[in-house]
Amino acid sequence: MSMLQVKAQIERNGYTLALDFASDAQITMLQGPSGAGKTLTLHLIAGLLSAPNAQVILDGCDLSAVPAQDRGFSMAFQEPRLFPHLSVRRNILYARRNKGALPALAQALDITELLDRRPADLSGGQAQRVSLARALLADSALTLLDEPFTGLDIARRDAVISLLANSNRRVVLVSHDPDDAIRLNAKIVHVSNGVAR
Amino acid sequence: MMTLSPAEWQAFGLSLQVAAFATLFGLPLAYFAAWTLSRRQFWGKGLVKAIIQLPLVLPPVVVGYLLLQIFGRNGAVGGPLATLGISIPFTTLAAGIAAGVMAFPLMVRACRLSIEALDPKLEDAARIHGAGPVRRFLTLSLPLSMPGLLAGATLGFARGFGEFGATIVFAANIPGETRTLPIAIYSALQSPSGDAAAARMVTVSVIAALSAFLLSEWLERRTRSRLSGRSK
Repeated sequence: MSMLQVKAQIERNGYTLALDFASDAQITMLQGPSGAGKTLTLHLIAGLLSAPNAQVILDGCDLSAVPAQDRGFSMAFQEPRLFPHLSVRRNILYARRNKGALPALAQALDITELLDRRPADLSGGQAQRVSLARALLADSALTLLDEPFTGLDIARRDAVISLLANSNRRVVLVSHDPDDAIRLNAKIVHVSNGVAR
Repeated sequence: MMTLSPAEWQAFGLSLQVAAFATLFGLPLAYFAAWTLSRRQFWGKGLVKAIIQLPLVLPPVVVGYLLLQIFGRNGAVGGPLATLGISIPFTTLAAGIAAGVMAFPLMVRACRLSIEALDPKLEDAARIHGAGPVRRFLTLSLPLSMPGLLAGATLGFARGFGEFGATIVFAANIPGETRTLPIAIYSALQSPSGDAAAARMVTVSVIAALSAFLLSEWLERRTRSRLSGRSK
């Protein structure tokens, strides 16, 4: 059975976050109050944050010492983080994986018309969708999504939810909405009071 | 009045050559130094930073003297080169090195400002999508710091073009070999009938410097808008 296991103690600005959870679900949702450490948890899983003795184990393989670029993950951050000098298309294709799926994904996220534009031409919501497309196109071993539904209208939110629910990609995402967990049939990990389980 | 004599053209050409040498060889080193100072922590970093900045605060003549000591027959670099039959002082190469050393801190500073302005969050986004250090450098850091590189190139070229003090000590004043435009102007001013020649060369210097500055401003603006601006 495929399994994600995370065990770590993160110290940040005098605040300690103890992570100790495992999930065998296709979609794992981190829930908890603002500032509880959900984003930190995603960054730790991604390999963008290091903590002493941290353990990130995916399907029995300990990734703790594997650099972020070699983990084969993809991620949509809270803010879009698009590369300003590249077109939308080149931003999405940056991960160099699964290029053939771009037209269908662009259509699902309603960004086909934007592919040849620059990030500076996009509204906040459009940039967020492009960032989602970059993460979702990558066909990665694990897709990390930090509040992916923020800034999306209801129709596009539904489109992304059905995209996630109907694919077999493994996802860890942050969301505040308990309904999302039900619709995505996600396992919930609660992050609060410095503990994630 | 504006017709330069062949010797004056020669000095002008030599200045361009020396400034181009200083920029072409100095800029990659300056970028590397700027990158290391911005991104790496190492023992003695403060000292390295101070040494790089030194030509900005030292009298140029002192820099020329130090270069002469280093590249002279008994110097740390000049000694081994002398055994190979290579002598650098009082050559065009010496003028290029003097210009490069004097321009170096300005080039490092321009590159550093640009490197420090890079958003590390973008690099994280590249990392998670599979980009290793080399790809991140080539696809993100280098293109995004291009305005700083261009600014460094302009400053370096301008400083190299106008270099006088270190050059006259390290490379001397040899017509056709090390007599750059500033040195030619100085020589003309030393001669009782040299006022007109000096005025001609000063005019050419001002025109050349202004043209280089305007060209670089245009290039920098173009690069900035290409990097972060809107698509057409």
